[in-house]
Amino acid sequence: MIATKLHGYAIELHQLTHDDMEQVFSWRNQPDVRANMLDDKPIAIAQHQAWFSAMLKSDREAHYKIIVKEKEIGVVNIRANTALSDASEAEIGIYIADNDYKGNLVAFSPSLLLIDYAFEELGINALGSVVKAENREALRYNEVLGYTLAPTDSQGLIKIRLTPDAYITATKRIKTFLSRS
Amino acid sequence: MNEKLRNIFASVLDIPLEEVTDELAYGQHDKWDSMSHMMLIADIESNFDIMIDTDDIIDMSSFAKAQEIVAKYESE
Repeated sequence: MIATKLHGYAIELHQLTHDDMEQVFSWRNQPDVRANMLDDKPIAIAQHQAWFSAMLKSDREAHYKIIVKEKEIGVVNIRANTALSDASEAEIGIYIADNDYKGNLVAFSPSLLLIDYAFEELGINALGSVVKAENREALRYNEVLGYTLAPTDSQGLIKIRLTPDAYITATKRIKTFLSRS
Repeated sequence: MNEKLRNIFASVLDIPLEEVTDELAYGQHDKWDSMSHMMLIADIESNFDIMIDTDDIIDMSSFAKAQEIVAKYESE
């Protein structure tokens, strides 16, 4: 059973439901959000609805809306090639759609919360992802979390990887700042 | 307090004092990113002998806001 709600580091994560379909469609189509996706083409509503419905039923992924001070600001998700409850490796993705919170320290909170959950509760051994080499902001963000970066491949993509030990070491300080009362 | 705070910002962000104006904002100046934000908080806390709450760490998004927040803690 995957957690439907997580809270900590000054935020809450609520698993997406059918009620969030339109909001997420709007966010996913924001040009600044699409620009950082591997597939950055505009998304049609039918395509989104099909993806959203399949996502809600899947046991291989969980998507959460990010809530800061009762304001919904974006989405963070975790995906694996098998059921999340059995997975040893997974991928975490995030987008902040609200400009007020982009680049803010609190933008790290959703990742911290979900990575804690992945390593401590789901028993994931490593997290990996692929980022566009031109997306320096995302690469820097992930380095702060402890991800290591592979060299850029021929398609201009960089594989990134995070182990529990590297994560714990890298995030000690940021966690103390985001965990105070 | 404001001059002391300006010096901390200039030193941590490694920018001239003239660039530390009320408009100086987190995420909008190349030097003020998440890592330097944490260094700023640490330096402010040690220099003013205060401990800043998470909400205020998040809200400290400009030099003007930093002055307000530090003033609040100094008056407590």
